[in-house]
Amino acid sequence: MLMDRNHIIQEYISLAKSLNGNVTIDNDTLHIIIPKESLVEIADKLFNKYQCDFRTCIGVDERPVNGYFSMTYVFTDNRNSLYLLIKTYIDSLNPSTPSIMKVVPAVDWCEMEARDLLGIEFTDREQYKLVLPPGWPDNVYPLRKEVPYNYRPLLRGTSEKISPSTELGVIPIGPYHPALHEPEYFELYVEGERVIDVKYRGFHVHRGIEKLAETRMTYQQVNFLAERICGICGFEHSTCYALAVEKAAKLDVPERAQYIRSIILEVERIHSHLLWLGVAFHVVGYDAGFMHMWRIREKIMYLAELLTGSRKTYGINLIGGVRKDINEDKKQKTLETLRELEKEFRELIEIAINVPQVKKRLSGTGLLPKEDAVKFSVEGPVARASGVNKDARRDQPYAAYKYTSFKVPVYTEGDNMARALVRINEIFESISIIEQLLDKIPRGPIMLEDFDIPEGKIGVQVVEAPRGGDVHFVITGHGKPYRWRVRAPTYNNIPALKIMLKDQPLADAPLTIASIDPCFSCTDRILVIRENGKREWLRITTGV
Amino acid sequence: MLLVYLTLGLIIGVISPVFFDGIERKLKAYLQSRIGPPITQTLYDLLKLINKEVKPIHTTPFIVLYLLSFISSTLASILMVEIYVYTGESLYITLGLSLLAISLTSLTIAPLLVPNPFSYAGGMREVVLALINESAFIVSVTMYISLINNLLQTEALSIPLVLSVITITITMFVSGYALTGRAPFDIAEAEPELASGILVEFSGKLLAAYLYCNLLKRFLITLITAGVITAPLIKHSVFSLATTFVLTVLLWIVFAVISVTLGRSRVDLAPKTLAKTYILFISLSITGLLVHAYG
Repeated sequence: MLMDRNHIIQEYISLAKSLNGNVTIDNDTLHIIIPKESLVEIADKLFNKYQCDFRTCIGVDERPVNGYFSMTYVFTDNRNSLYLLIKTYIDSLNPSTPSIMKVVPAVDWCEMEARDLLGIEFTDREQYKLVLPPGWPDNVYPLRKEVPYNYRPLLRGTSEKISPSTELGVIPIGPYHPALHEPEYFELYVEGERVIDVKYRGFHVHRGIEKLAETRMTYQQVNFLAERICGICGFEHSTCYALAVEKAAKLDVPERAQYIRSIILEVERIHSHLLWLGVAFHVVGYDAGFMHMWRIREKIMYLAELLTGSRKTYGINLIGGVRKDINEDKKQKTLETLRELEKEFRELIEIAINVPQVKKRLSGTGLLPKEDAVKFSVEGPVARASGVNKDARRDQPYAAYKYTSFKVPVYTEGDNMARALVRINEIFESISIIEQLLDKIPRGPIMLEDFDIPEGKIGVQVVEAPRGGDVHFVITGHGKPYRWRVRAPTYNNIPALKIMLKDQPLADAPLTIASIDPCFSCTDRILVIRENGKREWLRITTGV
Repeated sequence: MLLVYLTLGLIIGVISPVFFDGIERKLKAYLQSRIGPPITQTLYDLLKLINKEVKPIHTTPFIVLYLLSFISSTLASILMVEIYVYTGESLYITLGLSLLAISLTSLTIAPLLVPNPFSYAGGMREVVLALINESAFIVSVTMYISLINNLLQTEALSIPLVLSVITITITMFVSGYALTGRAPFDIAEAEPELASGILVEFSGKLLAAYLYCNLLKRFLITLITAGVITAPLIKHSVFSLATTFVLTVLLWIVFAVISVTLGRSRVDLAPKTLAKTYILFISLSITGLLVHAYG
C-alpha cells in the first residue's frame, strides 16, 4: 500500500489504538504494545491488508524486570522504510498466547522456538518440539533467566525416525549427504524419479549462542560471536548486531566507518555468490564451471584479506565503528582487482550459464510461485526470483547504502535459473556499489570515541545478507544484551523448499535445496547414537 | 608371434585403463586451472582401497560373481577385438561385440543387487541408459564395418555412401561416449544427487573391483571404436594393433576433453535425446545406403 510515510504511520497508530494498543515511535521503528486478544487481528491487518513483510518473532523472559514473558513480532513496511514491533505481554504463571500462524504462516518456526526455549504455549495451532533434542527434560526452558548458560542435562540417546526407512520410494537426503555441507535431513517420497512429498527435520546442532551472549559476554565480544554464526556471511551478522545495538543506544557512528562496513558487506556478497555459483555448477555436474568460478573467487578472498587482514571472519566490526581503515593504496588495489574480477566473471558466466545441461536443469525446476514466496516470507534471491521486490539495502537503508545507486534484480519465473540470475546480476551490482563507495568515502575517524549503552532499550535491524535479510533484535542490559535474537534468512527460506521440491525430478532435488543457498549450523556433534540408545564416540584411529 | 602380440595387448588392456584414467584426471585438472593428482593416482587409489576392509552386505557374493563375469567377458572381448584388428576377420568383432553385451549386462545388474535406495535409483538409471546405448553402439559398429568396407571397395566416389558412413560414424562415437558414463551421461553415479548412487554401498576391495571394472569398460568401448576405424584401413599387421592402441589413447583424451565442457543430464532428458539422435542418424545412414544401392 503506497502512500505518504506520515500518513501510513498515522494509519498504523489508528489501527493499534482501535485494538487497545499503545504506540511509541522511535525513529524508523513503531513499538506497538497490544493485548494478546488483539494480536491475531493486528497481525492479519499488517500482513494481509498492509502487505507488511513478516521477519521474525521473539520470546523474551521479562520476569526479572516486570514479572511477564513477552512475544514481539517483527514486521517491516518495506515501501516506507519502517519497522513495526508488535509486542504482547504474557502472564508468567500461565504463559500462553494465541498463535498468529493462521494469518501469518511464516511464524511457524519462531513460535515453536519460543515454546521450546521459553515455555510459552501457543493456542489455535499444532505444537511440536523444534529446537531441543529428543529426551530434553520437561519444564527446563534454556532461555529463561534462571537457567544457567552451562546447564547440561543428562540426555539419554534416542533415535528419531521420521518414517520407516525401509518404505519403498523413500529417498533420504541428509543429515550427511554430498549435496549438503551441513547436517539437515530431507525425506523425499518418490514415484519413479518424481518427488511427490517432502518431510524436513533440522536443528540438529542448535548452538545456544543467544544464551551465551546474554549471560557471559560483553557488548563488544558479541560482535565476534555474531560473526561466527556463519562461515560465509558472518560479517553481515556482526554488522547487523552492531547496527541493532547502535540503534538502541542512539549512537552516531562515524560516516567513514559506515562506508567501510558497506564495502566489506559487498565484498562478502560477491564472495558468497561466486561460491554459490560454483556449488550449483558442481551439483549439476559441470565441474569446469565450479573450478573456474572458485578460481575467480580467489580474487575476492585476496581483496578481503587486503581490506580486513583476513580472508574470512574479518573481525573488524565493533559497536561504534570498525577496526580497519582503507588507505589510498588499498583503494587503488581494490579497484584494480575488481576490474579484473568483473572481466573474468563476465566471460566465464556467459559460457557456464549457456552449457546445455546447466541451462536445461536450472530452467523450470524448483518452482516457487510468488504467492507462496509471500506466504512464507522468504528472503533474498529466493524472494526476488519469485517476483517479490524486496532488498533491505534499499528498503531499510543502513550503513552507507543511502549514498549509492544500484538496481535490485527481480525475476518472476521463480525457478532455479531465476535464483541463479538474481545472484549473477547482484555480483555486477555489488562491484558497482564498491566502486561508488570507494569514490565517495569521506575522511574522518572510523570509531566512536566514548559512548554509553543505556539499559532497557530496544534495537532491531535487518541487513541484506547474500542469502536474504538477517534480523538482529537487541534489548540492552547491563554491560551486555538482556536479550539478543538472531534470525538468519535460511530460517524463512527452508519451509518454502517443500513447495519447491514437490512434483519435481529427483535429480534436481539437491540443486533446488542448494538454490536457496542454505546456511545450516557450522558445528557438529561427534557423538553417534545407535538405534538401541547406546552412545559411541568417534575415534580418530578406528572411526565409530 | 600372434600369441605374443595378443598377450602383450591383453596385458596393456588390463593395466593401461588405470593410467589412462590418471591422464584423464590430469588433463581435466589442467583444463580446470588445477594442478591435479599425478597420473599414477588412480593406481594408488585402487591399491589403498584393496587394503581397506569391506563393509559386507548380504548380496556381496552375488555382486562379486557378476563382477567376475564382467571381468572375464571383458578380457575375452578385448582379445577378440585385438584378433579382429590383427586379422581383419569380421567373425572376431562379432564375437567381441557379443561378449561386450554380456559384460555390460553383468556390470549393469550388479548395483541393482544392493539393498539401498540410492544404489537402486542409480542402477535403474544405468539400465535405462544401457538399453538405448548398448543397442545403438552394437548396431552402429556393425553397420560401420559393413559400410566402410563397401566404401573402400567402391571405385567411384559415392556421395550417398560417404554420407551414410559419416552419419553412422557419428552414431558410433556418440553411443560409445555415452556408454563410457562420462558427463552428461554420468547419471548413475551422480555424486551430489544420489550420494554416489550405484557406488554408495561398495567399500574396500569391492569398491576397488567395481571402479576397476568401470575403467575396463571404458577401455573396451574405446578400443572397439578405435579398432573398427583402424582395421579396415591397415590390415594384417602389428602396425594395425599399435595404431589401434595409439588411437585408443587419443580417443580417450578426446572423450575426456568433451566431458569437461558438459554438465550432467537427467534420466528423463538424456535417454530421450539419445534415442532421437540415434534414430535420426541410423535412418539417415540406411537411407544413404539405399540411395547408393538403388539410386
